Amino acid sequence: MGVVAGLTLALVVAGALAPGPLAAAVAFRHIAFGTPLDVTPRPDEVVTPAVTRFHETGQNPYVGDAAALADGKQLYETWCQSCHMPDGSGRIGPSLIGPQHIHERATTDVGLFEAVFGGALGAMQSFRDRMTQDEILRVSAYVRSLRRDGS
Amino acid sequence: MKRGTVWVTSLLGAGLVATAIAVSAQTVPTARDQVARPGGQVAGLPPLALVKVADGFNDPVGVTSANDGSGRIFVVERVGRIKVVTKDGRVLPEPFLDLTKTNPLGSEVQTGFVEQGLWSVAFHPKFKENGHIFVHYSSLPFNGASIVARYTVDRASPDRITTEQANKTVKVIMNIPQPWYNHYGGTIAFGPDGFLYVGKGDGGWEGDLLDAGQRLDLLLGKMLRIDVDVPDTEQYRVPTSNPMARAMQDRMMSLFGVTEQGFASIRQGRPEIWAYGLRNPYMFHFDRRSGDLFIADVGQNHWEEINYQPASSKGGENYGWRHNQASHCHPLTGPTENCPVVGVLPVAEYPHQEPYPGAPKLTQGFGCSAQGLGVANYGGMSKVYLVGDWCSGRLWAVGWDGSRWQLQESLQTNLQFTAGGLDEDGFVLAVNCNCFYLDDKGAMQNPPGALWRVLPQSQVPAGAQTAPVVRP
Repeated sequence: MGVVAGLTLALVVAGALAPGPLAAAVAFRHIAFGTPLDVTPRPDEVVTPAVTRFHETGQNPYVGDAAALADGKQLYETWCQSCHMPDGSGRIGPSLIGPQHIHERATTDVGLFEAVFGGALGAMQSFRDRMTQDEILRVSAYVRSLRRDGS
Repeated sequence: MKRGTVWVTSLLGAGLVATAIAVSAQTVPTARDQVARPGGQVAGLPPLALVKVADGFNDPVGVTSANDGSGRIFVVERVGRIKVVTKDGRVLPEPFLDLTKTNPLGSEVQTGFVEQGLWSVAFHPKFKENGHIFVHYSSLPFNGASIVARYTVDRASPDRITTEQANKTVKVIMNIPQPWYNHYGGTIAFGPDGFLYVGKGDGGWEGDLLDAGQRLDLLLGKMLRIDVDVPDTEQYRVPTSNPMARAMQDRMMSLFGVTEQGFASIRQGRPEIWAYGLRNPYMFHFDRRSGDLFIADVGQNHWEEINYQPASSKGGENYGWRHNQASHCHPLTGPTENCPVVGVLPVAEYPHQEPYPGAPKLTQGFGCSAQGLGVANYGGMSKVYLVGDWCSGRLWAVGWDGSRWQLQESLQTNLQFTAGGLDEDGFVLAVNCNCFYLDDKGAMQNPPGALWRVLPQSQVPAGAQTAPVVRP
């Protein structure tokens, strides 16, 4: 958290990051319904470089980043583990570590983000008001790290 | 005689149904392979849609109608309020009943855990004449005990039971202590016999530590049946036709001259018990046409079950919990099961993502918590029990195909189904919350839920808002 949080703070202080539409190279959609997903950050949300890059490339920059994974683990324990279990194998909610996935698209960085940000089906509601997009990228990177095949 | 009147209607209905399906009357499964599982085909099931009726409800967990010709729908909010939705879909700003205001020391309702709160309202079959409504909730002053209480509507104020009127008319019918904060059951409803049925869960934690399902000396883990048409000096009476109404009359203990069978039949049960062996019958519904009863019994880690009782039932059914969960064993330890069927099998069951510990994860056809919505007799459906799943957002249909029960997934949505009921025209209503265990921020803090009407896709009015769905 330290490095990125510090960077975020510096940028906020510099006033460099007014929230607003980001470069929309990736077309996000609802993971289950396929409808377009509005990923405009909340007005009070700090947009980190990782989020900007993700919106441009569709690649989660935090994958394999030890500090981000540590944050992601904490977020996972707060929001995800009681349905998906500490190891991601699922109980009330589905397995996040395969081998099969309900939404094949969720095996990609974009799809996993879409499921958390936009919600999926039933109890898997949108987390857009509970985590920032930067946090969703961190928790998603952690979820990926749980997959045995590293996918 | 209220009961006489109701029976006439019921018998007429039963007669018509019997004529129509004389060769294929529903039977309860007698072997495990007769229990319906996902993948079946329910006769006459049209493609369904959920049409939004109203929204903005705080954790709606119950819905019903008064059947008084007003067309009103009553939505139960977990916090302790009942909201009125008018025939044209307006939500009245003032609640019909507000149990957060009746006690000057604080709310009447305990909502600390998401399974706690006000669950259900039932209108007396003669509501139009006597104004009586009945509610079931977890009590804050009584440390989470569940209370069934009656309130009476003032004719001059049909849409609002004021705090004054509530406190003037309240009558406590039952007060059942609760050992843990989960598995309360919740629904109360009048049967075609005019008696009040109360769904009670096993009292909580997991594994039914009290063996409440099987113990006949407890009111937990049961379907209860009571007569509330008694003088106000009494709480309620036990109908003499309850299966254990006379058990306690074996007062004179006798050791000799009794056959083995005679000994085995001695049951010192609580006389309020109608059926037992239930885990958490949060929702149950009577079919308005036939009087048959469907019970959605929420399962533990692996299976959800739907039970069925024909209107001719004399009660006393044992639905098997904690020896069985759905048609399976409890505890369920692996793919090879070896345990007897205890009591009566469900008519349908569906698995969680892991149908047994260590099973390959399912990617379709699963859920986690069965919430019965109502019995549909429209759009090609005949006595089809619709069931919503709280976690997966699936809408299931359970029906009889002439020779066996079928379970079919109708659609999947992003709704957390909590409850259902019928409107005055017989259409199935559903409510959803955004109050899932982990997400629960409090009965007034969660994002609001909505009220939906389940219609055949072909009957969705132009311009209506429908829930987004995925079809299997």
